[in-house]
Amino acid sequence: MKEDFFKKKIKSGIRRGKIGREIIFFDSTSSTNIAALKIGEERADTDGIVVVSDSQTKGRGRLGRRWESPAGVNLYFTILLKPSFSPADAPLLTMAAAVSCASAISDFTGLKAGIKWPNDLIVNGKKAGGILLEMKTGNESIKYVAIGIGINVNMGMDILPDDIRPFSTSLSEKCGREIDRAGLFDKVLSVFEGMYESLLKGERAPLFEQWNRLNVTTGKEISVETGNRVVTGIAEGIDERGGLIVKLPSGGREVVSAGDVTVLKKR
Amino acid sequence: MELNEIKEIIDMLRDSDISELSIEKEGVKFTIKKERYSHAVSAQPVLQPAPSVVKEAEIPAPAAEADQGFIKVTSPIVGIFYTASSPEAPPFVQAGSRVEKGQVLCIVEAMKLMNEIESDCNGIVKKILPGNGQPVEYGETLFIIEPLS
Repeated sequence: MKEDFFKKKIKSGIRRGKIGREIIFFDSTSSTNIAALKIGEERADTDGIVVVSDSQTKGRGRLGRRWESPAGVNLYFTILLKPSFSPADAPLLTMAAAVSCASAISDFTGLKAGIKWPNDLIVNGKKAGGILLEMKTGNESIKYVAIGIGINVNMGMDILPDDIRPFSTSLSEKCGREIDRAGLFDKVLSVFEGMYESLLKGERAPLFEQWNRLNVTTGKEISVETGNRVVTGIAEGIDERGGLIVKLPSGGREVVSAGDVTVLKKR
Repeated sequence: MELNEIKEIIDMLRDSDISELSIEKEGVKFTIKKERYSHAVSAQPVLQPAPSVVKEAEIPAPAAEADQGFIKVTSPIVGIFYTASSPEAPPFVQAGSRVEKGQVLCIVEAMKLMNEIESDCNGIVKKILPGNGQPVEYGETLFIIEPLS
């Protein structure tokens, strides 16, 4: 019954813009990104389609890692886009998605949500959501981008395996009350719509301003696993492409384009 | 020149406004360049070899191979190159693999954006240039493909 109510609310949301002009809802699917990538291959009019599922059987994160996706409690959705800008600028969508989720969570719940580079959603020092983007390019243009978002909304932490539980949280765990998932979903889409429109117009300043305001990585001693290496130093900020600038112990600087950041505890 | 002498020079340079310094001593010439930062992580040491050490033969072969009608697949973004979808998965392709147009060759990741790069033609993978997990620059050649009609 609860799922039916969620489905009804998700599908009846008021969305005047492009993002969410068509909502494809599943009670359960392998992963919303997998479903969206299939749509990306099959259809040409993908820009703005959003795939939502109440649960995922193969929810996944970076490098094929598992994303716990039980039914009836969280948000799992994928925004499909076909932007006109160059693939080289697509990583900015990572930032736009993170900013949209963090500011929507803050506005909708009153919680203070932050971003750990590049796009982990952090509440109370723990991970409350993750974002994974998958892009297909060809002939130097973007065929489509799938922005997969998972937010732990009302999940009890006892569901999670022991190895990730200490680092994870849900919005309701911190809030102490149940959160309206469909309402939060609508809020994320409407904030994202504004950010996406700005990027299409070539306006990046508002995005960087907001990312910097919400980020919780800058100034911290960190280590980043990037490709085959580990880079350790102080996170100094981000460059014009969103890459993480790390000040190395030697005094030099390095920009990391991808990786997992661990904030090191103060000794 | 002793290693600690080189270290001292590097330390001096770090705190100065000098961006490049060439030294020739006891028949050995080398150049130290200081960059504010590089865009992709790079394992290259700050110490550059003497220009005379760079041999013509070391200039990568791809340019020559591309001239023979081979196709270069380049990276559309700055990121990390992966030959497989996850550390446990088999590689998408290997040198010698036959590929179809539209087949995924690799992933380049930038900021949790996984960019699947497809082959633009039917052909044979002649060469895979970066290693798995290595940083790649915008426009860097990733694959050399021999097209088949």
